[in-house]
Amino acid sequence: MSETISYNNAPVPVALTINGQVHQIAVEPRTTLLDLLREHLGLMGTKKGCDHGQCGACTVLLNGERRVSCLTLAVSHDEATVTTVEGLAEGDVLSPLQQAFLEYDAFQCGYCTPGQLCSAQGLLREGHARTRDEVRELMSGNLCRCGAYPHITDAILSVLLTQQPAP
Amino acid sequence: MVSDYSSPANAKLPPLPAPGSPRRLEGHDKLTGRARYAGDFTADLTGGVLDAAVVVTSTQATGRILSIDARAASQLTGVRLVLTHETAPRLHSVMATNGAEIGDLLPLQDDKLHYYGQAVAVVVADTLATARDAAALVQVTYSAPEPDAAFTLAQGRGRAQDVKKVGAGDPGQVQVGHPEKAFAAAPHQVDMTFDTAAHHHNAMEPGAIVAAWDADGGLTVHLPTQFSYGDAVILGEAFGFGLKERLPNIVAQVLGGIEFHHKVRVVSTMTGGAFGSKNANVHLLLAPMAAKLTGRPVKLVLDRAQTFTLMPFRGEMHQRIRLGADAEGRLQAVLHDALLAKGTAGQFVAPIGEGTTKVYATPNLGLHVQAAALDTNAPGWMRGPGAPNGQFALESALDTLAHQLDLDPLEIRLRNYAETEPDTGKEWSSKALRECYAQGAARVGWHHRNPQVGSMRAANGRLIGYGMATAIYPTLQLPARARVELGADGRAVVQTANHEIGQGMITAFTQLAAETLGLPLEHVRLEWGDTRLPYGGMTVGSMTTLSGGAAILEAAQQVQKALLKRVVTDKASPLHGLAPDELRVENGHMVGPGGASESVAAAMARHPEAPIREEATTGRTMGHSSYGREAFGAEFAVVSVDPDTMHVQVERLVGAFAGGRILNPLLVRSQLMGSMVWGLGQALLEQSEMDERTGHWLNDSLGEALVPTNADVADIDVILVEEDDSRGHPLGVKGLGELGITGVAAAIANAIYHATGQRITSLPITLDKLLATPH
Ligand code: FES
Ligand code: FES
Repeated sequence: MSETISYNNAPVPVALTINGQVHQIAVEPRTTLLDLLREHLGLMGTKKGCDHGQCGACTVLLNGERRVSCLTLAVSHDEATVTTVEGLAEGDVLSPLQQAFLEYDAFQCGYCTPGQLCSAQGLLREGHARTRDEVRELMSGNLCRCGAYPHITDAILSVLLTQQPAP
Repeated sequence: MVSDYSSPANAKLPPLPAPGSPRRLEGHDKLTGRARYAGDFTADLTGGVLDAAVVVTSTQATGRILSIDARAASQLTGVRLVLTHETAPRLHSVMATNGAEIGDLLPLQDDKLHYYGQAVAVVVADTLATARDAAALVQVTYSAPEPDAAFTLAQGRGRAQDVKKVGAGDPGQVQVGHPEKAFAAAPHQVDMTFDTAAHHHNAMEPGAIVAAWDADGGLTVHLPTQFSYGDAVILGEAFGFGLKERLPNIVAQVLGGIEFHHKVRVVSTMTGGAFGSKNANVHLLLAPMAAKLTGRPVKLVLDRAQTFTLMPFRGEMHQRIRLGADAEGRLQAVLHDALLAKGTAGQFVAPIGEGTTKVYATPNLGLHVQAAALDTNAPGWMRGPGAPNGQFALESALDTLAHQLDLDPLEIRLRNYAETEPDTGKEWSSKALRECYAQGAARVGWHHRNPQVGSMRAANGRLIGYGMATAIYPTLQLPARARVELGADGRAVVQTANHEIGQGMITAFTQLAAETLGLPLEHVRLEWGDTRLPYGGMTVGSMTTLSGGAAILEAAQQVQKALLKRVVTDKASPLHGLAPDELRVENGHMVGPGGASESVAAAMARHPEAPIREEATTGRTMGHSSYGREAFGAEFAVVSVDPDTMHVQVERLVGAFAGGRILNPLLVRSQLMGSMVWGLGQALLEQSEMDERTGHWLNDSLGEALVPTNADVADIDVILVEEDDSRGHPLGVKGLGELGITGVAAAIANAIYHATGQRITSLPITLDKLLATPH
């Protein structure tokens, strides 16, 4: 059986702006954005919880929209802009969302947290969530086994209610 | 009672939880992606080289491996090794803590299969992608499976055997008085059976390990674990490092202050959730075996499906509860029979009766635990571990009795309030359960509900129900050692090899040391999770603060004593000549009567050659006490049920808990809240489904093995009830990490009964069960 398998896995070049930095890299077409970040660039902030699009731990912002990077093929997003958890703070200053996560204790083990943060950032940008129930519903693609959900919802809601509407 | 969060008008700025409490000290690292978990290791942390390992698992549960063809896999460019039972290093037997599977079954040692998903090969390559490709090319053939395999309790009932000891040594058979006779004679009886499904921890971080051998034959591993020393000893035994003395002897030595100078070092700094699943795991041995043969550092991360078989889970349980009561609802007899699944390898049987034997007053009490060894991987410790299931059964039965006698479910619990420990007669060290009942009931509006079953409806037509149950979890303490060193800069370093698993240990321990030393929080630094540090015990059983905290407290007190002694005898100090007990240390300053003061930093700076270093060992008696020591709480649930589809939504959970002194209310609240989310998951969602024909966990993914999502989780109120447990523990603290889950499933089941009149006795409570019962 093995003899008959053949992949067309010749690396394909792709250019991505990740957290403000341009990366020119050649990866196999089957390489997920998650594996590109972790295995090729050593950006380990984005986590792998399932590799099947089922847990949300790998969520990043792709051109500002939240995406599970384990189900995203890197080569199909040439020229895209990617923001990962490493790109949310301004230097040592946490973003309002990160600060709210800290103050509301919206994490415990921290493993789902990079995905929760990116997902929440995307949710704020989408502008669909205005209520507590909507935040819950729209954050349900991000599992947290520590069960920090009520605090995650609080933290997001606090930013939602205090941030200026986007111009 | 139930808030409406569906209207934008109700979107209020949420109040900050525990506003005065320090926030998590490792928070910045976790929020910016800097926190490194074992799976995040890159070659720069392991000397420039780090290969990737992938496990190949069996697709058959019983029988033998006939052949493993690794030729195609080995030929891929970049593949360094295909490790099988034929090529693997031979391991020496180990003593696994807590009855873990590897105590009976070492991986890759022979051709025999014990369960589906067993490790049969490990592939090592220069990249993860290549290792995965190669793993898919490994061809394994098996002999015919054994015809009489048993994968579920229904299949394995014939294998049931009485269990003498459950959990960490609690009795599996208890008899107080004459329970059978008293039950038969009781005017009111309840006799019910309960089934609870297997389910897995599914910590978001899968099992992972980095293993590196050095030139001198020493081994360093980085992995998330709840017991670094235990894992180090296992590695030392398995790889024949002359570690003849088994764990208890080694623990006795390190507690005596003998350093763990060993060729094995285990480091565990960040753990992405554990809940009982992380220590003494199979992969602990797999990665070092592979790295030994390649001679290069190896990183092995399990995929999600592999965590279902290479890590433990909560096994299936079948229970029968019999309650005999008098006309007033006072319990005359409590009988608890349980049949639990275990593995053919592994000794663990959950302490299922830990609630039953401690929670209610009764003159006649019986516990009878049996276990059936199934052809699956071994169940193990999982949050609670037996109490959530035991309490589900007992508290559902008690609710049934209350309705039979037309008593308020809260009232029947008060009538059976145990003023002393039921199975021993000991006085409690403290017990504020009455206050928990009262405060929880007030918060949820218990007394304003209509107690009539099926009587309450929401405006949208959904049935509303209220339920409650008691939460109970033992308060235990393990031996631990800590070192505190006050340096020339007036700052302290605290060292203890305990573990941060999300419970907030880093913050709680730093805070405790700072408070005890009288230093600002930022002048204290904790070092943790490393067998180069003093023995910190296991991070299990809600015992971290009780165990490690006690050692830190004692060492820090000694440091402060030595410091004060130094300044009063130091002529250069403005405090010279005063008596040590006249001094207070606050915020980094020693202050005497009449305003004399000196900063700790100034005093220490005069003697840069002489830091103050103290060590302490505590918990040698394992927390044995002349008192009964349990933490208690009251769980209340409000559910709504759609009368047509029977869809259940938990609208609200209120938990009121008495846990002695609370060091950091923020962390405790979060932990209890998370624990209650676990209870909700156990009640309504979580089940790992077994293929009775093959022994394969069918839903071995996060898409199919459901765990609570944000939308499943209701509003959760955690009430911390004041309690003084200073006669139970030097810090006056109790274990709280697991208390929150116990009782939640029963409170939800009881609420569903109140809403619908349907008594569901099997977990999880899924739609099919509600629809099958006529309503
Ligand atoms: S790792 Fe991508 S969704 Fe789980
Ligand atoms: S913080 Fe641990 S999984 Fe969310």
